[in-house]
Amino acid sequence: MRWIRVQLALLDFALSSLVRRKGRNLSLAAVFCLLVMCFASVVFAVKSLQREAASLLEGAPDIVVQRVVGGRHDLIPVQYLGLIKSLKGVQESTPRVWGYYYDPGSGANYTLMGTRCPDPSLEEGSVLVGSGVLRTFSGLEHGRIILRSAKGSFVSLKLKGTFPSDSELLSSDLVLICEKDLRELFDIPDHLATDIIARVANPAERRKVAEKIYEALPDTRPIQKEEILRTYEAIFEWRGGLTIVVLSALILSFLILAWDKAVSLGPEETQEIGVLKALGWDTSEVVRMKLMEGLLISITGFAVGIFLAYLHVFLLSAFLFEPLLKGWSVVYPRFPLIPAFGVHDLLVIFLLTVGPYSLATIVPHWRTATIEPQIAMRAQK
Amino acid sequence: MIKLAEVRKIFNQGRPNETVALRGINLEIQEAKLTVLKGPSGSGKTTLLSLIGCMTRPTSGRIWLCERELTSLPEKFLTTIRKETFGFVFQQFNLIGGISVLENVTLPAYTIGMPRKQRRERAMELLDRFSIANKAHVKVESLSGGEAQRVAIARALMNDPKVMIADEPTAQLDSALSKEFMAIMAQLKAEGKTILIASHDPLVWGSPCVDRVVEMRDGTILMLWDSALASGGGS
Amino acid sequence: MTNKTSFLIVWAGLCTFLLSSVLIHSSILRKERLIYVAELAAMARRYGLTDLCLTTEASHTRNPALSDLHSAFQTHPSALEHFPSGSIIVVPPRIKEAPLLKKKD
Repeated sequence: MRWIRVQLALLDFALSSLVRRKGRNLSLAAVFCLLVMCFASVVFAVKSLQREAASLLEGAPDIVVQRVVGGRHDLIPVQYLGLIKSLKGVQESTPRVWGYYYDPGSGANYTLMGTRCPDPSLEEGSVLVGSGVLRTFSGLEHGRIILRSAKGSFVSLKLKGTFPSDSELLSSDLVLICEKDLRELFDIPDHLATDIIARVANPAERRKVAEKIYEALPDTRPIQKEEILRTYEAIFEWRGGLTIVVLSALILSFLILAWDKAVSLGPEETQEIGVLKALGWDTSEVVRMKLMEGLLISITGFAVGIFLAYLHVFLLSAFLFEPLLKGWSVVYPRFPLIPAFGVHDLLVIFLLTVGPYSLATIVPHWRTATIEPQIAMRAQK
Repeated sequence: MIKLAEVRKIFNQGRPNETVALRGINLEIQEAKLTVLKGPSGSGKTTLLSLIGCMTRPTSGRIWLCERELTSLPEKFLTTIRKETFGFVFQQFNLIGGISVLENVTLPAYTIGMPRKQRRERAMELLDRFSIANKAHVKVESLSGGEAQRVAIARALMNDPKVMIADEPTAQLDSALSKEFMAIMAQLKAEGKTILIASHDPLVWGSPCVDRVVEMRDGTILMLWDSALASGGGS
Repeated sequence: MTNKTSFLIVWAGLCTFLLSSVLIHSSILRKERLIYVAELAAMARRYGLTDLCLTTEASHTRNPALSDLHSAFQTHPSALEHFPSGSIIVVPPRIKEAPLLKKKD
C-alpha cells in the first residue's frame, strides 16, 4: 500500500515536471506521434495488401500450366489438356486465351482476357472493360473500342459495359473479350492457348499434381496458387521495406535528437536531480520518476500516432505512401484497404517505438542520479 | 548523538585536481543542542555537514548516528535514514523552480509514502507557522529572500526530522532576517531537535541560543567552544 | 493537486479510447470489406483471373503467373519495375481522376 502511494507521488511529480516544460514536451510528443504514425501506417498498409491479395486470389486457379520454350513463356498446345484432365485430383481444367495489349496513345498495358461466348454478359463483337480502361485508353469513341490486330488491321468492338468500380483491384486494366475475337486480334491459332488452368480441390494434392504435370509434360511449367501468393507477399514486404528505408531518415534524425538531448542533461535538470536526492529520493526513485515522464510522453504519442495511422491508411487510402506501396502505373487502381492487423501488431509497434525512447530517456538520468547530491547541486553554481 | 572518528574526505582522489577537504575529524554532536561550525570558506564545513547528513561517504573514518554505524550501510538504507532523520536548509535554498511553494515543501514526503491529503495538511501547517501560508500556491521565483528562506525551513521540517542541518543560512539575508532565523532555530531546539549550522556569520555563532561552536580551518578542527565560554577561550 | 489526478484519469481514458476505437472499428471495417473481397474472389474465379491490377507497366510483376519466380526481381533485385523511380514519383492527378467517359473528337 505504501509502495503504491510512493509510486503515485512519483507520478504526480512527473506530471508537474512535464507541465513545467510544456513546449518542449509537447513537441517531443508530436514528433514521436509522427514517427509512430509513419511506422504504423506502413505496417497496416503492407499487412492489408498481403491479406487482400491472399483473399482475392482465393478464387484464382489452383494451378496454371505454362509452356516454356528456351526459358521463355510460349503458347501451349490445347491438346495437353487431355493429359492434365486425366490426372488424379484434377477436378476441372480449361485452356485460357489472354494477353497484353500495349496502347501507345496512353502508354499503358492492358490485359485482354478471352472468355467462352456466348456469355450472359457478352456476345461476339463486344467487350466489357474495367474503369481504368475507360479513364485512359486512347482508342475509345462512340461507345466502341478500337484495337490494332497483329495483322495490322483495326478491329472495332462494342463497349457492352464496365466492371463495377469497386472491383478495380482486379479489373481496372481488364478488357473481357470473346475468345474468338481475341484469337483473331492476336492471331492465335485454334490449337494453341496462352495457358491451361486446373482446379485441384485438395490443397495437399496440389504439389503432387504439379509434379506429375511437370513429369508428363517436360516443356511446361506448372505454377501453383501458393507461389503466386508468396510472390505478392514478397512484393509487399519489399515495398514496405522500401518505405521504411525512405522514412529512416526521419527515424534516424529523431533518434539522434532524442539521444543528444538525453545524454547531456542541462544544468537545471542536473541541479533538480541533486536537490531531489538531497531531500531523500534515492536513485531508483529518481530514475523511476523520469521513466514515468518519458512514458507519459511516448504513450501519448503512441496512442495518437496509431489513431492517425489508422485514419490515414483505412479512411484516406494511405495517400502519403500510395505510390511507394502500390507502385506506379498509368492504369492506377483505386481500392479500399482491409484492416488486417491485430493487438499483437500494435504490441510490436509499441515495443519498437516506446522501448528505445524509454531507454534513451533513462540512461542519462540514471547517470546523473548516481552522482552525489552535493556535486549535482553545485552544477548550477 | 552523532559521533565522528578519524573522518577524512578527499575529492577527485588520484587525479590531478585532488582536494583534501577533511583531514581526520573527531567530533561529537550532542542531542537537542545547537552546534555551529565556524570557519572561512574552504575550511570543510559544508563537506562535514554533508557527511553527517548522510549525503556522501567519507573516504576513511567512521560515523555513528545514535550508536548505529552509518559508514558501512548501503545507499538505500542511508537514504532512508536521511529522509527520516535529517532536514536540510541549503546555502542557496535550492528550491525547485517552476513549481509552487506548497509542492516544494511537500517534496521530502513524496517518497516516504505519506498520503497526499496528509502531505498538504502538514505543509500548510508549516507554512502557517512561518506566516507564509498565503504564498502556498505562488511560484518560488516570485518570493523574496526572507520568504524563500522560510519556505526552505518549512521544507526541511516536512518529515519531522530529529536533526536540522543548515549550511550558511544567513548568507543572503540582512541582519533582521538573520536574527529571525536564529530565533526559529532556538524554537526548534526547544522542541527537542538537534541543530547543526555551518556559518562564518557572527550573528549566527554569536547568538545566545548556540550551545557549542566548532572552529575549523583547512579541513581540521582548531578548537571547540561550549556555550558557557562562547565569547572566547578554548575547550 | 486533485486536478492532477483527474487529468491523469482523463489522459488514460483518452489513450484507451483511441486505441480501442482503432481495434473496434477495424474489426467492423474488416467484416464489411471482406464481403467486398469475397465478391472479387468470385469474379476472379469466374474469369480465371490470377493477378492483381498493380504496377501494370512492370511486365514481370503484372501477372506474376506469367513469369518465373524470380522475374519479379529480375532486372535488378531492388527494382520491381524498369524504373525504380516509379516508387517515388506520384501518379499525376489527370490519370487518377480523368472523367469516366472520354469522348474522342
